[in-house]
Amino acid sequence: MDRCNETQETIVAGQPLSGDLQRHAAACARCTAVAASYSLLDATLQTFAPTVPDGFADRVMALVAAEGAPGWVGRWFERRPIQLALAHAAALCAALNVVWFVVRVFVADVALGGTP
Amino acid sequence: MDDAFLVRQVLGGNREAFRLLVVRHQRPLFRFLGLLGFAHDAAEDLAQQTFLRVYRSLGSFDPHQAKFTTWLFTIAKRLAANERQRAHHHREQPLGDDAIEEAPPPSPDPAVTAERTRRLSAAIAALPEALRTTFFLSQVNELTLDEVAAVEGCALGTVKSRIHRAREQLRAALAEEEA
Repeated sequence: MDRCNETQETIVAGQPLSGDLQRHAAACARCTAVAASYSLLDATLQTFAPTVPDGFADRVMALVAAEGAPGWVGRWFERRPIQLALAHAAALCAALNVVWFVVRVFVADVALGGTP
Repeated sequence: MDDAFLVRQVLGGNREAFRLLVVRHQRPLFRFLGLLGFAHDAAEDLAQQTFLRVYRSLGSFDPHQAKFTTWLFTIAKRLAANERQRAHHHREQPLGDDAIEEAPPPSPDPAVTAERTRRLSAAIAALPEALRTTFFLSQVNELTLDEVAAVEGCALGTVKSRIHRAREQLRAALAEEEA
């Protein structure tokens, strides 16, 4: 029964059957019926395949030629170098803030005779 | 030559490298659009738009974040969804027989094949949108299930579950016909 479940789950998922499962499917009437019904589906789906029209790539390249150089039209902040630069800038700001805090709170207090 | 190399070539000024990308990916793209129900002219128009969009935004493609195919099909999926929405406002766009190539028929009787295809088209059209696109992306041999998950922006388990449900529904529709 486990073998049937495994075989039928694999067939329904559209995954290829391993050698073991193929042998089981061939010997089991229920699994054979399931395999047959799904192979009909797969065969019919194969008919949904428009051919690539002749000269398609040429037409695309003609459009591309009218475009000029490929560019950047995504959101600027998604670009990796920009993201890296922003991350570094944020880290630098954080470090400067820490230094500024230490200088203001501790160093200034010491200079005034306070206890750090 | 992998896709990332070709992209670098195009960005470096070798525009002809883009032709190789088009030739390499045009067939699976047309298959995806055909499965979605776009007939020849509409499929060609959408495929052109997809490649043009890809070219325009090639600078934003990051091979460290995604495979080229994942990126390409994400764009195609968006454009197809927009087109479907636009067509829906003007008229219903059923999955028509003109989307179908004269492929080797699964049955020797052309009338039976045509009837099966018609029934399957109707069943496909009745699938919920999420099931339909996930299932069709999985039918494009270029994409692994992980990549389908990346295009769909969902978990691998969700992709498997959607494929499972879609196949079951479509098989049931064909089985009704055979009964």
